[in-house]
Amino acid sequence: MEKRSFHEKVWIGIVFAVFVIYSVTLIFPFVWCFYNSFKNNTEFFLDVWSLPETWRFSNWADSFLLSVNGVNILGMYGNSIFMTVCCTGISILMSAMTSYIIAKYKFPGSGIFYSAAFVLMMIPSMGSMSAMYKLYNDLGLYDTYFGILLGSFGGFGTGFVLLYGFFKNLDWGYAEAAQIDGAGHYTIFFRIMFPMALPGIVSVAILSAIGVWNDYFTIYMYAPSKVTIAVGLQGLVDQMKYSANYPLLFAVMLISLIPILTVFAIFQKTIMENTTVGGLKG
Amino acid sequence: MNAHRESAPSREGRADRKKAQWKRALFIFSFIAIPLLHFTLFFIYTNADTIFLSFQTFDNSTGGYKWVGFRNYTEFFTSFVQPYSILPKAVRNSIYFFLLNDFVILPLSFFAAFFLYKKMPLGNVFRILFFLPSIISVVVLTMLFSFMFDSSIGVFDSLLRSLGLGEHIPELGWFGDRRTAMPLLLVYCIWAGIGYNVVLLSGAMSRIPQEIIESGRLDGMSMSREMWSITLPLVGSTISTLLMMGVTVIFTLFMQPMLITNGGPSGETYTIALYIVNSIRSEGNLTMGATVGILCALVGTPIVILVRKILEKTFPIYEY
Repeated sequence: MEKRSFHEKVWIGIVFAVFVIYSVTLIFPFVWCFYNSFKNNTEFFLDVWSLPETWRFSNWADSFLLSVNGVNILGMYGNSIFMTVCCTGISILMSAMTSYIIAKYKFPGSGIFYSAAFVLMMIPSMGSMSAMYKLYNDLGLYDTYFGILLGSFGGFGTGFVLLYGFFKNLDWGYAEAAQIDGAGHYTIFFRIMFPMALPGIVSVAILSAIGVWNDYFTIYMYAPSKVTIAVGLQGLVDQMKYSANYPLLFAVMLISLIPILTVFAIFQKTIMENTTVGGLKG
Repeated sequence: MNAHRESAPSREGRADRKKAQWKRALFIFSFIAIPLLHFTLFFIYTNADTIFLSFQTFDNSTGGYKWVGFRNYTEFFTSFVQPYSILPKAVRNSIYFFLLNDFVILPLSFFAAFFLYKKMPLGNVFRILFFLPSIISVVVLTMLFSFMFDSSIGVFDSLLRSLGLGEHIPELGWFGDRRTAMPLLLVYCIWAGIGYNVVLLSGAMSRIPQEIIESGRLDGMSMSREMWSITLPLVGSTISTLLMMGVTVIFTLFMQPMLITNGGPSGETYTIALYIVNSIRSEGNLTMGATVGILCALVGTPIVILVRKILEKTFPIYEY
């Protein structure tokens, strides 16, 4: 047990109080939206603070009737799930393959890749957005699922840097043993190295999936009619400026949070540990 | 099985080795061909085309792009110096966001992370709560924040009114008033951004070996001494990464103003990146977006390199 001076105890007390206040500001908006989502619109505008007199579940049911750009909530969920699964799957496989090659195979120029990947991570992609937008239009990829999926075939992103570390630390002895038994390069990767790196790969995949699920900008910019839940939610916020039905909006918002909070509840430790190592773009 | 390794350089052995080398090369190629192609198209080509686009303009009569020399650049600078131009505001705000990140959020996060690391009661509960904004979509976070300060439903306003401070509420709402919109956006960035830094920094602190701190404690080291002389230098590399991310914010931050105010009122909350996005998406002016992108690269690259150099000097990496 560490002994603390009075001075230090006072500081801890002050910081604790600040932490509590900050935590309340983080939780309160969700709680407020939650209980207000059971009111009808008139009751909500009458008093935004009070608890609902009767708990109506109609908003939660009605939310499935809303639509943005002709896509309803279920459609948005479909798009979100499709993009999250496919984009994450593709990008993880690509980064795993690329980082495996760079970490375990020497060939002319292989050294450049690793440092290049690091430099590239630092360069903001904002500048080339015009050209990217033009490319999507020129190739007919604009507003297509294929275009969005094609965007995830890159092997040199954040995933590369994290997975490079995992593969670098794997013992090559297993591969040599397999080689003696006649296993080829593909067998070694898919049957030995990939399964061994799986814990690392899964945690990178979870982080990446959260990013895709929450992604607003890619769809807004390159495929506005393929409305995902994040894009749809913002669309609904804009709709509410004309027909203010806030309790309904709260219900939709809370529904959109269920998957992400479930994943966080299950993988909380993995997610937080890997964030402190790798970083997650918010 | 492994004959080619031991056998003398017989003809068969050499052929075998050659075959193995081919197999190996083919394997390498098959694994990195797609990412390389992707990289060529989505990085090299788009960056080259950005340079081209900045010297071109869209020709409505032909439906293609034609060369116009430096016209986009002169257009940019003329509109920059025009009265009521949003561009100076965009540059100013982008710098505000950088200053906020590096000189407000980061010091506060370091301080908070240190206390969290020093066995704060309920530490793990705080850690999870602080992390929540990092996994929730920015759409949801900006939505909640605007609700709180909304003029018709906002709980902040009703709180002020019940305290008898109702007359301080701006007529056009907090996000509609030119004086309050930008400060409130900065508040949003603190609210939504600080938790991530705290979790990242306290994670880095927990990796500091316990022996170093214990030996210091035995010498009667105070907590503030520990914070400055041990913790700060030992998490230096994390801090310099975060400082670096704060610098790039100048050129990349746009989501928060786009979703909360969309640059309004009268351009008060524009940022450089939001200007690029809106040129492309709302005005269809790709060439202006590219021009601003090139200017950012010209100004930004030396800044980023310089800051990196300074950070490497200030926060040397300690191995432990």
